Amino acid sequence: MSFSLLILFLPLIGAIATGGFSKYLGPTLSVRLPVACLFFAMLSVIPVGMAFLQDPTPTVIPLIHWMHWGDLKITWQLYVDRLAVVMMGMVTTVSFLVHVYSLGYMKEDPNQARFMAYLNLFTFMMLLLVMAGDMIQLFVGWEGVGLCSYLLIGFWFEKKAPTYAALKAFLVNRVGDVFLVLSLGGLFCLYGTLSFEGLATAPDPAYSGLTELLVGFGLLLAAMAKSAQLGLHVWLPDAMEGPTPVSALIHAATMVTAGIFLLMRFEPFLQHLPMVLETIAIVGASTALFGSVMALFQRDLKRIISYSTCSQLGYMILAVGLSAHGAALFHMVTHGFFKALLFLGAGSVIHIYKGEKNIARMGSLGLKAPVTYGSLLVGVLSLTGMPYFAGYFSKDLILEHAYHRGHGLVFPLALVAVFFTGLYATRLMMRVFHRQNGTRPSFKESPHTFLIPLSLLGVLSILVGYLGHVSWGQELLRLERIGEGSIVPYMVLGTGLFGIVIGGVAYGFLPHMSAVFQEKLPHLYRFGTQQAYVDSLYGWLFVKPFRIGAKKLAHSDVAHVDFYGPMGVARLLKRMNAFLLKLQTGYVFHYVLWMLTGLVGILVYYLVR
Amino acid sequence: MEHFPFIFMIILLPLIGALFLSFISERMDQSNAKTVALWCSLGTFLLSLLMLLFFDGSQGMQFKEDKSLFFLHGVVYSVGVDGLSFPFVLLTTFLVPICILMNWKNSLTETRLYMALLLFLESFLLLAFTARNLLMFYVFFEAILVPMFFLIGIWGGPGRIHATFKFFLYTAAGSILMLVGILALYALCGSFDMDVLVGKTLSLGAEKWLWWSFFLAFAVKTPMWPVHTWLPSAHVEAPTGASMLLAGVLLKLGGYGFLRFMLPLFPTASVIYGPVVFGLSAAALVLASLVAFGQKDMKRLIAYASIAHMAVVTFGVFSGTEHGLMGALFQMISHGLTSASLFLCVGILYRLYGTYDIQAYGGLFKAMPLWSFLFFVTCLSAIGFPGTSGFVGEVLVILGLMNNHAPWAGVVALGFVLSAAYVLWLCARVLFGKVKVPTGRDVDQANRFERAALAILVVGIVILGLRPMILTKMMEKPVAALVAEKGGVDG
Repeated sequence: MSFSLLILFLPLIGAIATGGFSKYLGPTLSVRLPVACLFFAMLSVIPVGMAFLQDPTPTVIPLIHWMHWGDLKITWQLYVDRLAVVMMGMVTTVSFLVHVYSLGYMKEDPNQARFMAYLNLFTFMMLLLVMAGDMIQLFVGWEGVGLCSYLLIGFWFEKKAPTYAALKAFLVNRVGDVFLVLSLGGLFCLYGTLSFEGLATAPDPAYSGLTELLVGFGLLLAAMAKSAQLGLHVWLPDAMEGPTPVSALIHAATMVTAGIFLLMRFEPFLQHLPMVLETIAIVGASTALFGSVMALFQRDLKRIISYSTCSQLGYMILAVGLSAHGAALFHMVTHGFFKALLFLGAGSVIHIYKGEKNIARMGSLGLKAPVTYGSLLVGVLSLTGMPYFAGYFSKDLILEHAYHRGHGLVFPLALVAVFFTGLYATRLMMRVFHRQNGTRPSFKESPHTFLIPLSLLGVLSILVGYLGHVSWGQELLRLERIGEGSIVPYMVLGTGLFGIVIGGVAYGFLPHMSAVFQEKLPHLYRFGTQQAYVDSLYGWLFVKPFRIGAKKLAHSDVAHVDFYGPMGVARLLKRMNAFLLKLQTGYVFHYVLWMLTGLVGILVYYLVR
Repeated sequence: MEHFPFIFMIILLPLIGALFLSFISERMDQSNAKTVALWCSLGTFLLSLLMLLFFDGSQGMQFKEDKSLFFLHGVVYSVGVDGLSFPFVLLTTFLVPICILMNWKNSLTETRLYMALLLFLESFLLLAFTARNLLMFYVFFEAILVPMFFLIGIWGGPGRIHATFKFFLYTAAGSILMLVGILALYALCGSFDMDVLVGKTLSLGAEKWLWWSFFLAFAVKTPMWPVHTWLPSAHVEAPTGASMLLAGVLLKLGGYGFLRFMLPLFPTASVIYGPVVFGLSAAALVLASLVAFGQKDMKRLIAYASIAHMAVVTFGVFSGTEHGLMGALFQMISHGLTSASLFLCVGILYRLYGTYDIQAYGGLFKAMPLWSFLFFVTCLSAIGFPGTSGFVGEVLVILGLMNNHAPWAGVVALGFVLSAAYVLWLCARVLFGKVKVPTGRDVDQANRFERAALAILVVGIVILGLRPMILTKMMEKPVAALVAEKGGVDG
């Protein structure tokens, strides 16, 4: 009971203390306090999880009545069920490790305390989101993580690029938020309640299917924006302008999975809408492929991993679309760990290369940085789904579901994505560590503050794959196995290995391959490096018209609305004034003339009448 | 205490202060005038808080006072508050001391007169918000223009004369027809008293004509598109305190007028013309947001943001649902705090650096961290971020529109993206980026009175966002009554 409160509020306390009172805490304490808060929050998940395993009914802990009036009853409450417990465990663990990593990574930054406060605030918001018992509260967390993401992407605010990347991320996410708000409004109209408990028990509404369908698609669009799915993914690669720990925590392990969480939360509602579910599966599968192809063309190390995140999130969305919630949740957890590992490893690489992010300027680091190398290797093997690594278990499960339940293109898309995953993962490793580019830089391994959390995360990200093999893990994840003994695992493994081998040959033994490719297929190459022109398209479709329209309208508001409105009336009065002034000539016979005209007019009127 | 004339007292106290300031010696020390004004307005605020203690949310009109004026037959002083008007009374009495407080350390020319005008304004505002008599409401609705006219005209910026005449003439011209409408109502029903008028039913034709006469007056005041152009110029020229009250309280007279007079007096016409209002509000929301995005001047940007925010109010008012009405009321109070806080923020910048030009600023997050934090929280409220007061109103309005007017709910929701675009782009240019203003300890910063005023407003915004029930409890009864009255017509 009270442990849930501890989990939620410890990070908030840390954020407030560090953010507001770092002056009084001193430089050391103010960066360590958030880590301590997170550590105890992480420990508190254990009793909550144990309690849940003993009694798997969801617990509801009411906090305050936010709004109680008429039929609108919104209570802020913690809703701890299976989904929430798993998310809490994953979020606090990854967040703790990232906090520890940040102690070293951000050491040189004068604003480290602010950074830690933001991280803590983010963790609070994320926990608020996953423990929300009410949809409005969920929305608070939903927007809250968006805000923290905005603040953290733009953490180095004196530079231009991070500030604009942050703005872009927030605005694209806001598009999703609009759909979420409208969907919540629609749900309120349908069911008359905004709590998840109420939604689960509410009788079926007496509406036509259209409203429900719209609500379902609204939820999908909200999830697409948050989880960077095809079409609304544009903010994620740019978000890499933020510090690397942020990319690891927010843009790989936790916040971006909120969209998947949302769809799983609304499972009782969505399961009646097969059309929406099919769309979800297609969106997921196409994003999986799109992300993996785009990752192949990027040169920025972090951008490669961000497109990889995009692709992996696609797999989770696909699983949700297939109603394989256990598989989606499992992949979310394993991905959370191995992707955080990849990002933190990448942070270490960037540190070793003294801030260089372009993989074209890397190479031949080899085994000079054994721990960094090892952690990236573990991450990559897991990502490509090699046996005995975490990704193997979870991704296989999703593809299995896609094979047996998916319709049409879903399975082929997902399988091709596996091939490209192998390809780009190999490219990444070869470019960063194994290229013979002549120069032999004398780079050294990162300091221990990097390596300890990295190793921990590496071990954890292997272990987490075996969650499905232990009884409590199965109880928490509820993995649903279908098609025992089918050929799907071999197909997936074979495709993945094929990708790796091709990649190994292409990037290991054919040094001029990419130049040749660039020459022979310039359009395809540009399509890839320009990220499928999506950014340009949106710039041309939305941003440019918006900016030009704003400028034009700002001008027109003064030049037309005001000019012909009030100022037009003023001019009219002035002109009338000038006209009337002309009548006042001062000559008596003019006035007499007017008087006579008037008299005649009156006489005529009476005579005619 | 039930028969203690609270309303009379809260109206009288600022008046006494204003008269006192008008008659004492001109050589009086600046700070003396401020002290007198601050104590008077604080006393008023405390009295209104005391009223809050005795206020009973489950009742209708309370603290009624009726006095007939002997020399004018039928014209009476008749005031009272209910859940619709009391929040506005509190907003007024809350904002005026803050406007005085933030000027505490700043030198003003003619301090005495400035303070006296602020107090006159407060008194007139309270009279307008508490009036239960149409004619009395009209008189003070117009009287408010006078102190504001001088506040902008004397202490304003370089273009103040043009702006203040535009403001005065535009809003006065807008409400002339309302006077005609009020007199026509008197001719039809034989009373100016709202209690009497609400019970009468008018013929549909008369209702339609009267609806337009009232609508024009309140639309100019709110302001709705396309009769909004007086607002940006008035704001740009107005001194900070006047801007805060103009956006914070004066604009609310429009929305309040819709709720208090138009819905109960012309229920049928309000339903018939609902789509017209929705169309105009949608235009205001989208156009004002775009125009705000295109501004180079911070204060103009915020003025256009006000127009966009008030469009949400008009959406809510004519939604005809409890959620919508409540959302409109909440949005008005929230906007009162938010816009006052925004204007205070840019006012501080103007005092320090002497310009409203966005280009001139950058990296303020580094130069003025506390100011930036408070500004940012206010901005969050302006974009309807949950946990701030701005969120509550917008969400309630969306819920209210969802049932019968779902496409319009989409427009209000679109405001979420648009407001985020112009507000956060402002933040990106002003708060972030390269530092363009001097930094360091010795540089003149916002003084502690300005900071205190700003912090109080921000605390108010956050409290209302976290505990909206403070307000909704007060308003639920009259809101339900308003919807019930319309119920028969709305079907």
